Amino acid sequence: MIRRYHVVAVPIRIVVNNFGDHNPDGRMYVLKENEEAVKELVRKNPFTPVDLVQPLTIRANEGDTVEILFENQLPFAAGMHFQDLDYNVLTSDGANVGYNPPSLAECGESLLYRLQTTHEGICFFTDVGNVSSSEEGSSIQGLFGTLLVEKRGSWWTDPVTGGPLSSGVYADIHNPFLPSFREFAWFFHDEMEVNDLTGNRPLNPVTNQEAESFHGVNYRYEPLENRLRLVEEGVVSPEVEGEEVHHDSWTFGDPATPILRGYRDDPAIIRLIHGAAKETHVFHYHAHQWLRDPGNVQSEIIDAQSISPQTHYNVQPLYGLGSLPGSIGDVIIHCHLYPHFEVGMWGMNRIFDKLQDGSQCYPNGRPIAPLQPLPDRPLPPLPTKEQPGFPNFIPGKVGCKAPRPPLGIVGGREMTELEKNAAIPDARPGAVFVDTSLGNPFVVEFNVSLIELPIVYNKQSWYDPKGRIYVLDEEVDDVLSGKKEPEPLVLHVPANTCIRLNFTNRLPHILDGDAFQLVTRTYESAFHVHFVKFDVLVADGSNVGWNYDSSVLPNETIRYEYFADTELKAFFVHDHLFALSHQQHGVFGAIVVQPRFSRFLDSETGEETECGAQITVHNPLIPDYRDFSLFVQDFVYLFDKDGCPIQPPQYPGSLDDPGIFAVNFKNEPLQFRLGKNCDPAYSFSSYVNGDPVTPILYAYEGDPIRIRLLQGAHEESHSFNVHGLRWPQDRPSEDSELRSQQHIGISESFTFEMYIPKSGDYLWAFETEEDVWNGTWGLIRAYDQEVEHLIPLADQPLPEPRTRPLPEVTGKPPAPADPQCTLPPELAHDPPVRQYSVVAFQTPILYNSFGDHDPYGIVFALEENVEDILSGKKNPEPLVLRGNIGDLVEVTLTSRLQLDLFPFTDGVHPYPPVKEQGFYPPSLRISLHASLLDYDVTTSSGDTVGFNPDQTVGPGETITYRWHVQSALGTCAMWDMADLRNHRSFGTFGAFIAEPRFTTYHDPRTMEPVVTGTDVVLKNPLAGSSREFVLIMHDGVRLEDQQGKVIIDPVDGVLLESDPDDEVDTYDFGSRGFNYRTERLINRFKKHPVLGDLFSSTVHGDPATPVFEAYAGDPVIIRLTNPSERRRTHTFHLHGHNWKQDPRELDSSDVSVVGHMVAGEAHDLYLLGGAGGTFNYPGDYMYRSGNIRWDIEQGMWGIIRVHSKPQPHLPPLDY
Amino acid sequence: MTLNSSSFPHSSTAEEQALIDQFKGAIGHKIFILTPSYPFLFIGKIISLKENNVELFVETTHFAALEKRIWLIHIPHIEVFYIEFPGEPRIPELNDMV
Amino acid sequence: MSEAQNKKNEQREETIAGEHEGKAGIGETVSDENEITNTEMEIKEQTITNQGENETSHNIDESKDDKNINSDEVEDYDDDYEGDEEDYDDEEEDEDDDRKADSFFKELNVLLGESVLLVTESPQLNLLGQTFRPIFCGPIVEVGKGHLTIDPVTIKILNAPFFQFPTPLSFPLGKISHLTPCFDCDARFPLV
Repeated sequence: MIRRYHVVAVPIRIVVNNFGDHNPDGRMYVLKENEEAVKELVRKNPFTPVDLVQPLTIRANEGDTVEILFENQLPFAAGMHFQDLDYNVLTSDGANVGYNPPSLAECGESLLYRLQTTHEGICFFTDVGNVSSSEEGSSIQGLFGTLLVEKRGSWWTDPVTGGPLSSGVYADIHNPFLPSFREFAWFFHDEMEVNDLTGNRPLNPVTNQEAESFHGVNYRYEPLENRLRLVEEGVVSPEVEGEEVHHDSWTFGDPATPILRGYRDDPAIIRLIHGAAKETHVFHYHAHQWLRDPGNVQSEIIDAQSISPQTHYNVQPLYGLGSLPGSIGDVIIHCHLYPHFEVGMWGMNRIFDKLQDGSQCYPNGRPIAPLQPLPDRPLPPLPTKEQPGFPNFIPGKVGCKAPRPPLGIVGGREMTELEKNAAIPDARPGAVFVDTSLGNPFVVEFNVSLIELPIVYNKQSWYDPKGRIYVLDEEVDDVLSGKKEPEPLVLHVPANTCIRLNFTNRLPHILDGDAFQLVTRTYESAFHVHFVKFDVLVADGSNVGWNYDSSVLPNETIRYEYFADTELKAFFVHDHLFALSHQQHGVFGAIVVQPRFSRFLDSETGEETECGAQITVHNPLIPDYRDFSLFVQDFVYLFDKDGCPIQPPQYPGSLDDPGIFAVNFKNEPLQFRLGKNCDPAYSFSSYVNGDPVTPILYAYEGDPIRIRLLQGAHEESHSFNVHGLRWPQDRPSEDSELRSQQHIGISESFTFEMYIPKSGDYLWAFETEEDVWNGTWGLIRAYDQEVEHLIPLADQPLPEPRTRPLPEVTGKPPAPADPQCTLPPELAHDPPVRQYSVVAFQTPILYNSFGDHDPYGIVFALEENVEDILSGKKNPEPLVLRGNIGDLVEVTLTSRLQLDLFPFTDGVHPYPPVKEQGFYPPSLRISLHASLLDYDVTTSSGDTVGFNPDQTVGPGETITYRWHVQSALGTCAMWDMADLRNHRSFGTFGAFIAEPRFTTYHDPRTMEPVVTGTDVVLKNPLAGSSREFVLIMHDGVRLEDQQGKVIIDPVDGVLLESDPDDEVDTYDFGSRGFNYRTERLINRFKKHPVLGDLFSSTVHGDPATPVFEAYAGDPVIIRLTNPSERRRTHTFHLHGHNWKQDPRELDSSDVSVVGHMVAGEAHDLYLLGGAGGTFNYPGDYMYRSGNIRWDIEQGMWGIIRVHSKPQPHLPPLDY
Repeated sequence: MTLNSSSFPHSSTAEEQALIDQFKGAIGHKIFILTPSYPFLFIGKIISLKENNVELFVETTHFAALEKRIWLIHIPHIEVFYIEFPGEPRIPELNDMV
Repeated sequence: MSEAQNKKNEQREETIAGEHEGKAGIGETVSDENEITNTEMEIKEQTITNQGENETSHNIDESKDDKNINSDEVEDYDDDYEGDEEDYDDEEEDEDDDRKADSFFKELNVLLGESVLLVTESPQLNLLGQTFRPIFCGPIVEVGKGHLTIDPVTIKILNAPFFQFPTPLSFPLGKISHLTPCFDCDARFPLV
């Protein structure tokens, strides 16, 4: 059937909260039928939020054709570009790309988009007519929305009235065969323009500096700074500090941000969307979990999810609202990045237990809007005087902080009559209103305290004078006396356990001020947990909405009860009251829910334990394993041994990326590991510098291991890589793709399960440049012979008695590795051998036709291409090597690096910058590391780490690595490990592609066999032919323009007026693009200043970035990787196409975006339907970043050209 | 357990025949079927039985393009079904109308 | 309320009323129900062992005296099972099958009216794109020689574990991987 919508893009004033903060220059899509009404309401309410001002959310059913009449009232050409739908790219792309006719509407014009809904889910739309990242742009000012595609036969109603609904972020969805559910569209977006009542930028009342930029939900935000003013002015309880009541409705009433309303057990889906423009956020929803991929019941259970600009997820809370125990109350939903949380990026899910028909009020007298019960759910009981339902049984006082929960606090209060009426019969401390543990009798009890103590982070005596950590009560003395080294608290319990946790607040009232922070009265704290089941009202360890404040004052103890219903990996714990103020000092930990019937052993002594970041797990049924927990940290506030602050902010209290980085309260900065020879190639070598102080995870050869990856603090993305090992992306599935890298944001939790095939030192690292530079790396050390400090696993063969002494620090570089003396551990006998001869050398790289270039490029190239590159005949592209499954690949690497060709011979690399600059002269040695492949880590990983031999080569030297293509890995990232600081951003990266057996690789123009190339035709006798396009997304590039002037991107690339106050973090600096090319829009704009024509080849010719060509319907695989190098993540999007989120998992979702691309990522996109998508429409399809700020303007885009007619230069694929 | 495990049949012949008989008795009636394999769902009228296949005129599946046509469904592959005999609850109508 | 919604409501009217009545209020904990259910099962096991195919006892009060499943009894059960396996004669397989199918049919008939939790073979099913593990709950209302029918039937969809399907559902016996009798469909239990 055909559904029709008339959509108008309008300029609109967006009031973002009840304090009158507003965006005077907002832009929005709205249904034509609401246009007049919304304009009138906004005119009448200049300082009050208007409900109709919300991101446009329209709906259709799977299989529908949707016709959108788009009318543009904005002062520039604009459109609607839809993701995840099928459409004719020549008419309905909502863009002006390549040689397509424009499908943008000029101001005052209209045009028709015709779209086909092929699968259920979120179809995000936004404008790509004006991609300026400035306030003159469109997306960044609110021009985005979504078409939600429901299951066939569905219909939707208004949750308040029960009547029909034409658009809206909230709807009740019904289907004859399926449960009705609450649907909530939740748009995160950031960096939108916001002014306060006076028309000025909002100020932070504590620092008196300009407040953080807008971070909100659905055009609303509820920053602490506004609420704090009410405290300061005595409007509400003046004795509070601020952060602890930020989310408290007792104090302030409800926020302006979304409150998602439902009844206990209602099925629900949150359509989670990142509308724009810059940051990767972490969506966290208290007390609920969902499947990472809802279409695949074997995908991971998660409760926090990183989300990048222009990406989206379906969050279907398991068991419905209230989760397994059926909790009621206010459940906070927020971006877990604390500075974003503080500035207002939060809302709530409100779960009622009584029917709301409009006759009830909140405790502050505000009416409770009616909420239609879902028609296929039991009718909730009506509220009565004795049982008024949530929140009216809670004995709070409006204008004051929320009350403490009954029963839980030692020496605290009993229940009131109303509370008794609402409570379960077996009400007990920590589980009052729901039976958290479902009657489960297996109880484990812990006593945990939060204490303050100084923590030394490294060998240079960098320290945090105000470390704040959770410890078991019985270990407090040992930790305080220095007998036990502080580490993040990691507790272990078997699944199916009821956890009773007695938490004591032993912190001082005051968090003292210094160069980083102002004095803060952190007088209460709590233990907030993720993943497990609990009574949200009393055991959330937080102070949210109309709930209780479930924290305690100094020297008070509170009991929480949690139920670990199933094996849930490591769940994150932290304080929720003053998280922004002190979590970065160490207030985090984890409880690992291990398989049932497990026993936990100290890996050194073999004694039973319940605690530790590194333990051994014994289980009677499944193989024993080593269990390691790693917590990455940023915003770490350290002082050097002389008491000077390290990377303090401009002023205390600023959240502009203060401090540095660490893992488990330790760091090992590379600048202190140069050794006597001052050669970065040995920075990771324990022979030269000794072992790092960061965690070394011990095992014996052959041991299974599980790595629990978490982020303890505080705001940024990190990229975890393990060299030489790999794990399935979704642990529950045997079909899941293998990874050796994982992006992580705060509060996410991952378990990586693998085994160590061979002894040696394996590098783990958070490997973006700034992270690893500042010391976020360590080792996994697998021994081949027995050592005293490690018990063997009970079900593994005993390790040989030690006959060789353990290696020792010599201060000298290790001996060169001899890869020819070993074979990759998983190699079958007699493999086909494929050989490559690769040279690393310096050469200028021309990045585009405007003359932007890198005069100091360093590249890997096949030996036969070196001459052509050096003579200028060939402009280099990143090296792509290939091998077929089963191959043994021998890569001979030679270094021809010359010192005089490096830009910064004084040894300090100034741009793009990193924190804690230091002397680190360029290395003339180089290596080649490939992710995912099977090799002997002591000879062929390209890493000179730990006590492994040297795997780098100096000028004139060669090494021949042996890599085994053990399975269908697809794209593997490749990069140099000899000098991450002076080499990588200049071009020392590439890709290795693992192809199916019997595949041959051909030039797409001549069909002659080729050895390398980013654009090839793959031929396979069984799988047929396909086109393979390799896209290497990279950033941190130092470019010079035609005149030799250094380009300072992103700022130099901003279209229209750049705001001088824009926060450019260290890791935003540098130019960016694909495959050593960038098509910076500013160059085009200077030549022809029309925003709507910037992607047009008709106007500007084709971009310098790859233009890949195919015929409609050709099978196409995009090999996408990001080997380099900054911490700011990118989104990848290809117009008009979809692919499987996991190519090996047919049940995985269809997607058109890849989020959080960061160093080490590698993906395989098998385009569904082939070139031109499901319907094989010919035309030009843009691939690009999804970051408006700051990628697209800076040149991160290109074209895939799909031809309908034979082209003389492009032979067809022979099937 | 209430079920005596020893009485679990070791081959499915008898069961399968019983199932075939059940479907035979339902010729002309509407049936709802779930299978683990694509396209997962069939709703339609039973036309006949062909050995151990049900011949179905399919009114509704997951995809409109596969409807209004005859499908043969292998009975041993059916995981869940419901036959709408007279007087029994009706299989809901799926329509794409708003 | 829209017409369509009304339709859905009507369809459900009966079941909702029933469910509502039987639903545990805040005061009644689910755990208690679980315990009763388990014990009930235990009693039934004994009854069946003693009385063969006769009607089972439903006396919950009686069962409350003996809450914990005795591990010895469970072992006895295993012994019975093994014993029967040993008795089984390979050469008479076909005939035996029919006989056993018949006896299985009778066993199942005992469960008529009982609420069961039943899991079928495939890892997941797909209803208009909604995937779910095939876990079903409800009273058996019909036992055929090749199938059994449950009505009303709850599908334990991961995000809607109490969803009642609009029609009864039948399950080919050969597709039932496992089944447990006397199961309270309002019980909350982990699904992942």
